[in-house]
Amino acid sequence: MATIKQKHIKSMGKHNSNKNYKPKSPPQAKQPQQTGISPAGVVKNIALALVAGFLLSKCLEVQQGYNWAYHSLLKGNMATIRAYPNLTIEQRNEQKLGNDYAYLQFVKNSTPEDAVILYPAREDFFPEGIESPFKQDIANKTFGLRFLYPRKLVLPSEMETNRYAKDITHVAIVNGRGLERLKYEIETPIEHGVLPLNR
Amino acid sequence: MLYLGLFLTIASGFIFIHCLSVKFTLIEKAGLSFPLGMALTCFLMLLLDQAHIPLAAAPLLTTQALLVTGLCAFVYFYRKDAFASLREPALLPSLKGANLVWLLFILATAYAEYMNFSKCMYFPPSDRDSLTAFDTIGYIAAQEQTFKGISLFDASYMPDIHGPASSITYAPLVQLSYAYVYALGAATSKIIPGLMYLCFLVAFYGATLRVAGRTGAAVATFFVLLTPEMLGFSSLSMTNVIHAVFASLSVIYMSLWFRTREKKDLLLCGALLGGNILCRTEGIVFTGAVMLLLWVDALRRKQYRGPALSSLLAFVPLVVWTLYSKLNGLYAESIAITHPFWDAEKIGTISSYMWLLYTNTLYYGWTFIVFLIAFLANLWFLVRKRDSLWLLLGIGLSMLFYMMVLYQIDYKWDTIHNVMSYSSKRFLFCFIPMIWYFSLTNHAVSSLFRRLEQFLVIRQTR
Repeated sequence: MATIKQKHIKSMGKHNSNKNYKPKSPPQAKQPQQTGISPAGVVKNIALALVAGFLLSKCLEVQQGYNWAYHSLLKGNMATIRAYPNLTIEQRNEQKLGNDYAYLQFVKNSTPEDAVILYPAREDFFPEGIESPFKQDIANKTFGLRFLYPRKLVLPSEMETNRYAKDITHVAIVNGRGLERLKYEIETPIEHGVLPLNR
Repeated sequence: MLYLGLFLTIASGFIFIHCLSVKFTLIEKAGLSFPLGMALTCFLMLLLDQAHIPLAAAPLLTTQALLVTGLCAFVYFYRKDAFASLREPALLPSLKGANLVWLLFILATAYAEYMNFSKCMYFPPSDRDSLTAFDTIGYIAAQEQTFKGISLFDASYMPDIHGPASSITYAPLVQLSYAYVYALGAATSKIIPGLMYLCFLVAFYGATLRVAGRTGAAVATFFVLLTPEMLGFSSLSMTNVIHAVFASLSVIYMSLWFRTREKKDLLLCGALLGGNILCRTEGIVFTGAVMLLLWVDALRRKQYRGPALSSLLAFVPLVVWTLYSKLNGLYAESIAITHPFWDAEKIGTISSYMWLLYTNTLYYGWTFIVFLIAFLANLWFLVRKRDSLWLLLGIGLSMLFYMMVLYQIDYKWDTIHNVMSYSSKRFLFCFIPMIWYFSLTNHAVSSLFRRLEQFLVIRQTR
């Protein structure tokens, strides 16, 4: 039985006999027998490595894209990681998603797992003419579900089509909107929160 | 349990590569094990889900253990050289011929990837596309232990789920891989993009090393890693970079097949194309381009067995995913225009946006500039000796097919300007590794690096 090495040599032989042009194999296969370290080789290596290192650092400074990638994206984020190494997942989520995550966590902590929540519409999260504290795509139902699951969400536009529309237990309030969906009056209006549908 | 799952995933990929061939270098095997193992795992998850077996930790780990056993049996009976290959000097990493320039680029790559991997693992998924689709689907699939039947795909709960461009039709590899790690107890899905990119860099280096030599391979890998927009997306839980892993490596292994005519590269190319189509539906452009070239060559040479096996590996996942979608009602309003039409304005819009992307050095660094220089430097060898011809054809055809797909889309969920402005920059990720591969492996440039390596030999010779 041919060994792997023999098979490898055979396949290389086949490769060389092909009439089509083939670039040469990588250099290491053809190197002469080695005996010891050459001082000239070491000097050449150090000199060229210094040149390459200089060019590399210049490249990271001069080219705007690489500069951003290295200094802002990699080193900038590493600085954050080193500054806050022990944050919990929740704190990291809040760091990234800000008020959006804080609001969803509040809703999650204020409702039971089997709650069916009337979720605010996009125009409630981002009302025209008012600066909203929300920044991300929180108005997207799937986005909300990522943090509120297994609670069910129903959008105001889905009252006719969503099978859970009749089972709503809670109403989410944002920017003071959604209070009119409650089946009772509240004495002190709230800006952001979640309330039971029925008193 | 998560560590056991990751071990089984890597083991299944590692043994699967040996099923294709034992002659890949250890660097290639190390790099490809996780992506291929994850693709195999997700493929199995589709089958389990279709058989109504819950996608929970115990069934998943048991199935993976069975898969590893089956693959081991195949290797034992049909690849008797597998164990010897792990000790075969030609296939092992070696420091012979190493030089300080190579070491500098390897260290720079390792340091940059260390920072990138740390960033990826530290921050939970926070980008819009992950939280409104991939990550959430994976998370809920793990909670509900099914993919086809998850509440997110229930039209009576999510009334818009069958609307145009809905996430219900997204190819499943990324969502299923997230479901897998969530099912095994992960707090976030970030281990998947983190390991994918890390392993990709190793695999890319291993593949490039076979042609460009160590210094060229290290330079190419460093610049692929540092491509600004791709680096930014590599630590997010989105599909584009993971898709680029499969798509770019499949075209690279196709070109290795044309270069060396070793069947292992052809089979690996097919397997990677299979993973590519499970990542994103538009992966069909790479499958189409590669298959066209492989079959033109097969007809010319009248040798069909290798391309047929490769096609099988490429198309089986596509067929299974299509059947799975049909059987389980995973459909959405079509956004494809299926009849031919002529719209000069649309062509102009797509071309002008693509040109803006090619010339955008903020997104892609020097990728396209280096490509142009390498192309011109190698023009003589390309014309006279057809050097890297098949690779260039693979890149060019895939790019053309991509533009055709963009042309045939009916932009009814968004404007073409928005899609081209914000999404198309990510479509080019697949081409970045191919372009750097070409730039460092073509005859003109690789000859230069060969001379450089000979100049930098440290050890004295007799």
